[in-house]
Amino acid sequence: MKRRLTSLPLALPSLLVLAALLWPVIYALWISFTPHEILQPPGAEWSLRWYHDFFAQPRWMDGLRNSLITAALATGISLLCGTSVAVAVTRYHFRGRRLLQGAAMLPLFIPAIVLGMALLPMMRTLGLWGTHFSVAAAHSLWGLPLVLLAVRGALEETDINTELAARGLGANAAQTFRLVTLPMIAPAVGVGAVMAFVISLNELVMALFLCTSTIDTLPKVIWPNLRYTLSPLVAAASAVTVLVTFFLLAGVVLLHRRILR
Amino acid sequence: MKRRFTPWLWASPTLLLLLGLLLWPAIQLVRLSFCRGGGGRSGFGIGGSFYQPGTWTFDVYTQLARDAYFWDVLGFTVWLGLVLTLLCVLLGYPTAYFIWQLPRRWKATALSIVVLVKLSSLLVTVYGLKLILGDYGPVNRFLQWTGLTNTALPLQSSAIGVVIGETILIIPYTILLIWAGLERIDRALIAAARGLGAGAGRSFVHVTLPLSLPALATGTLVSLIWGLGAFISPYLLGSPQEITLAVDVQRQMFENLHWPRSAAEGVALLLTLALLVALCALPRRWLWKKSGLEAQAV
Amino acid sequence: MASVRLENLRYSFTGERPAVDNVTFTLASGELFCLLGPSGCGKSTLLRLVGGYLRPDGGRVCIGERDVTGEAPERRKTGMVFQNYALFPHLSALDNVAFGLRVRGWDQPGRYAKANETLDWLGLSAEERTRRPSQLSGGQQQRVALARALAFAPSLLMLDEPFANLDRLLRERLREELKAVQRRTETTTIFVTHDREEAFALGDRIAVMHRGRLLQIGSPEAVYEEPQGKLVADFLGHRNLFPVTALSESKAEAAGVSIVRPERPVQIGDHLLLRPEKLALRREAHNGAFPGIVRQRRFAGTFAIVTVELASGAALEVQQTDAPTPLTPGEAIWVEVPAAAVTVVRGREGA
Repeated sequence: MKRRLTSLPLALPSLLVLAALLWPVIYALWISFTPHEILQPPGAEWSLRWYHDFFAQPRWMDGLRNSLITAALATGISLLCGTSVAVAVTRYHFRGRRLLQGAAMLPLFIPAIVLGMALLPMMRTLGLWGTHFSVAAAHSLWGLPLVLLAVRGALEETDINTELAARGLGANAAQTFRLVTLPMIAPAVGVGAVMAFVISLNELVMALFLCTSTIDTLPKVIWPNLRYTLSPLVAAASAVTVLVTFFLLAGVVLLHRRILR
Repeated sequence: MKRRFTPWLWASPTLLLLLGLLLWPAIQLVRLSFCRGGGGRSGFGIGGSFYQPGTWTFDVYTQLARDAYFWDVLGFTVWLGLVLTLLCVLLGYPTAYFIWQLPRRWKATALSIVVLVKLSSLLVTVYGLKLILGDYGPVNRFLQWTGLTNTALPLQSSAIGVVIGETILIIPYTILLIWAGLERIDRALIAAARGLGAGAGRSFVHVTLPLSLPALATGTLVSLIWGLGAFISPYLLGSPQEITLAVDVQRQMFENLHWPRSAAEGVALLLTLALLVALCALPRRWLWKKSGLEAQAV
Repeated sequence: MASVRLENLRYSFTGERPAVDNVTFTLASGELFCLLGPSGCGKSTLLRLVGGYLRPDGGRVCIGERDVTGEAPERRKTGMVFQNYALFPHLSALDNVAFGLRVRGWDQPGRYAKANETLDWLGLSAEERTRRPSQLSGGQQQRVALARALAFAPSLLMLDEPFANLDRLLRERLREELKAVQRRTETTTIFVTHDREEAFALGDRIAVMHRGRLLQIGSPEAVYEEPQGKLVADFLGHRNLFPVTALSESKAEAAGVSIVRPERPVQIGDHLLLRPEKLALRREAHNGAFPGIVRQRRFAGTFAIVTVELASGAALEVQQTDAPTPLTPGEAIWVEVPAAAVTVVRGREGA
């Protein structure tokens, strides 16, 4: 069936939607290179002054650092939980399997506002309010389902006989997982890890509730400036996060190519 | 393998996480809504606290029920949620279909755009929108240039801004979910329909659309959930008329320092969510049946 | 190298009829034992029970002198070879073979030496050993799988239809190599297959399995000559199986014809097997020969199978080794049934 170009009435609104998605990001990126003091797009002259400003400010750099730490912690928790529950759900048949899977996916269906708001009082009572761990734990509620999705697919595709073979050869369950299963699903685990990392890096709402000034993540640092100070510095800070995200995702795509090889 | 509790052993970290960070806080939240307010003002509880633990009262709920402002906010939240869902589905389905029809390389590019924009900082998107819709931004300049308006429209502080902003934030989910559902359709079925004489339009109506209904249902559900919980766009792109429940929750928690009230509003939000989702569940069941596909766990 | 004993082994998948139904047998140390049966008869399940991948509902498994019934697979010292090889895709062939030694704590030089030695037996070149499984052919992969299962000198080697994915020539060749290696290492082996030719060629003893039960155990010759029960006879490919319809002092009637009653005990309800290779064809009527019409002639290289329709309507297959002139369908023919051609197949299935 030869595929001809899709009809115009379909293409037009779709392209508009895609453009609408992309345009604010591009516009903000464009502004970030402005040499002017105010929010005027760069004309002929492009400058990196705002990026210099951004990297020079301790508060912004602290924000970036906190974001990276939190994201790393969140990814760790997500990987631990997501991979193990994926094994449970794909390699075993037991009552409650469907329920467990649904429960693990549930956090994705809960808006961040509800999660953040519910976790704050608890973190406070536990004395964890203001630690990286609290924010990371909250983020891992979203990371867990993403890792589960990525790893589950890979586990279902691997041949279970290889695991049986390993057991017969003398490897116990832990050795089998470490020496056989894990290497086979490594690319999918990588994809899940990157997804969890990126989600945590850019997450704002839960951070709003759970961060205190010492552990403010970068989105939270940017936040107050969005309401009032529309300085190009904000554009530069946002651009940094976009670039980090972009490179991480590009890494995922390359990893994906390796899986398909 | 037939061991009895090994799978639960594997699942234990997740169970711990879900119980500790989902179930327990949810229970605590409901409990909190029945506490007395702390009367604390500024500075993290100086002169009072966020709430008085151990108390039991319906005060907060009666307060809310009598508060016209609360009902205004709730009304706007529901209205916004439904509008957003409608927009996301109406715009998202054609876009997903369009992407599905693209040749492979363009498909990957289009999907990357959607994913990248979604995963990038939400702030970039909203910030960019604020710039675009701002008084001196390109939209206003264009409108004034064409003579449609004389002065700058306060777009970045209006319902229009909120709707546009939140749609951009939510629609990637819708597009991706519907697209995934379309991808699962066996293309051979469509070829068969065409071979039997159905034109492009009819094969869509009779084959593609029904088979994509489950994904459409899920996409609608997700859009509704996120729409009701809208926070960022109303906060940044809305005037005081456009406050949603989510925004008010944050305000109660951090500005009024009245935690029981924010908890009660949170409970109200969850209940509204649950109610609307349940209302949608029935047609969803019907949609599954109509599509003829087995129900799959997400 | 150890003996293996199964006692009253039972297993059912949840809510279904038993997949393994009261199976008992003993393997001598160093024996190559073939488990023969159609798909779904439970032979793969039986292997998994012996290997410890499934826990039996009842019964015992003993390897060597040890009762291993409750033990996990990794403690049983059994090697398993799968139909789809199940090689570790991320390891080279050599590393695959050395795996069993690695998890047992062998040091690197030791395990590579043993792995290489095992691969020598199976004829894999040095260059092939460095390749990943995806870069090897089906036959090579199966050799690696075999080497992997043998490298750590298991007490029991189990093969689950290992050659089913290979073409005929390769299958025959690997069969020979397996036999050679098994003899050399004296490894007790269970070989599961649905191909009777394979079972006959390989097994020191074979067992026919059906619906979870063992119907007959014996040497290939014994089982072929004296199948116990119609099921076994059918599965072994015997043709000309007819129920006994009448009996007298000296005659037995089957296939609508009356033949000399065999010496063995026979009852109504049993079957008589008239071996095609022992029946004779005659162009003219002969004393004791039964009249019939040639229906079909199938040429099979060294012989031909002629299907004859007797007056009673029964179809008899006769093997013709030298046929100066081929028979044409519709021709009249006479079939002789010598006493040596008749075997009694007892009515009740059972071992």
